[in-house]
Order: sequence, then structure tokens, then C-alpha cells
Amino acid sequence: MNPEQKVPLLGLSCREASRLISESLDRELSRRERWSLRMHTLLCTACQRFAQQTKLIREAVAKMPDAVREKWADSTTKLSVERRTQIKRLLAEARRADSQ
Amino acid sequence: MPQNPIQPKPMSAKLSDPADWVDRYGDALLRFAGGRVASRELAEDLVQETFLAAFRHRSQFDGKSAFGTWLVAILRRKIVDHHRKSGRSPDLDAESLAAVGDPFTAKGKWTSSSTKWQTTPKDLAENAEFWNVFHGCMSGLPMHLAQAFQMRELGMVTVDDASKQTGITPKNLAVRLHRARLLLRQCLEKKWFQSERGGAS
Repeated sequence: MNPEQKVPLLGLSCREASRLISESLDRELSRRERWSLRMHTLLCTACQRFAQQTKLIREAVAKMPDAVREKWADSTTKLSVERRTQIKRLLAEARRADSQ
Repeated sequence: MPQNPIQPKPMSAKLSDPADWVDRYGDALLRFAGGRVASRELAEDLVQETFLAAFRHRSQFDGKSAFGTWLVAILRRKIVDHHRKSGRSPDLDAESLAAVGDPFTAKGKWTSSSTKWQTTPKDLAENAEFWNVFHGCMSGLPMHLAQAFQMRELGMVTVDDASKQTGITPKNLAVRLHRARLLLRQCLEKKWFQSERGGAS
């Protein structure tokens, strides 16, 4: 699937429709994209649900309690404590080996 | 500190102890690696190798660039090496979702039917159990997808800003966000909304 490709007015697959649903959360869709997505979701319950569900997730995340928020943020933005300790230990060993 | 343009600037006193490198640059390096490999474990391995290589070759740091930039250059090479050795495409976004569960058939239809999620954002947000399940689902996502999703949904960073911060193109970020949302939806459906805990009705 090439995102550059113009979306077909009719006959969007669910994969393509879900991509537009996802992108609609991040940017404004073109008129053509909106139209073809509307045509698809009119008849497709699964894609209607996907749109509702992704929106529900976004709204729930916006209300996420602070403690959960921090834990989650750390999981992709911070080196784990164990790893940090391990790297420091390895560096200290390398340093000792070096000075001998 | 007196500036002598002929002599290379000595590494600042604070950075003479390599243990300080880890505190100062460890998280930034992890974020860089996290956008370029699919597993957190691997991202941490590469960061570790970077620090050890930096220590071994510390005499080669000429002070022309910032120390952090030098570390990133080493890490970048490690990532390239890794992708070459593993024999897989370095383009994470070109890979299919097959390994982690593509929710579509080859023809682009959903592979399984979904249920209606009978709840409100507020009810979900106030349920500690839900966040445990959510966290479990997020940890199961490939690292680069989890990172993109988190920047966008938790940090509310625009795709263009996220692109500037990570060096990942907006188009690739859109692909990652799409995949992250598909996989997260799939996981929550299974682990929460179709389980008794989620009280699927």
C-alpha cells in the first residue's frame, strides 16, 4: 500500500479505510479522502467500530491518571534502572582494566 | 575555562567519569534507538554497546562536535550494523505486521469480527484494572510503534514535531501510528472487552 496513491472513491479496503481513520486523528483529511472514507464506513460496521474505538482510546488516554502516565512514559523514554546499573558496572570494569 | 582554539577542548570535568555519561545521555540514546529497532531489549543492548565502544575509543573524541552527538553517531553505526547482520530490511515500516498479528487478510478485510465497546472514556480512565491491561498491551507492541503512539497520544505531539524530534519521516510516523492503533485495539478487545474484567455486554 502506497500512502501517496490517491484513494479510490469507491472500493476502499478495510485496511485502507482504517489507515484513513488513523490519519484523521493526526491530520485533516482531504475532501476526497473524507468522501471515500464516508462511503466505506457507511456500509462497514467493523470500520465504524474501529473509528469509535480509536477515539475512545484517545479520550481515555487523555484522562489517564498521573501515576499510570508516568509509568508509561518511562517505559519508552528511559533506560531501565537495571540496565543503567549494568552499563555503569561494565564501564567501571573497563576503566579498572584500563588503569592496570 | 580559557579558550584555546589550537588545543582540543578537554572533556568537561563532569564527563571524565564514564558513569556520568550514562546518567546524562542514556535516556536520549534509548529514545533514538527506540525509534529504529522493534524491541526494547535490543534498543538497550545497543545503547550499552555504544557506551562501551565510546569508552574504548574515547581518545578519538576530538571535541569538534558535542559529546552527545558523537555518541549518537556511534549508536547510529551500531543500529546499521545490527540491521545488516540480522539480514532484515532496516526499514521497519516496510515490514509486514505478520509477525505481530496483522488484523487484515491479504485482500484487506478484517480477519476477525469486533465487538462494540460499551463504555465511556471516563469509566475506562477511572478503572485501575483497565490501565494494567492497557500497559500490558503497550509493552507487547514493537518498540518503534509504542514510541510513536506514545509521543502522539500521551505527549499530544503533532506528527510534524514528532518527526523533527526523532528524525523519522511524517509518512513513516503515520504508518507507525496506524499499526500501533490496530494492534492496541486488537489487544484491548481480546484482553479487556471480551474478558469478564471488561464486562463485555
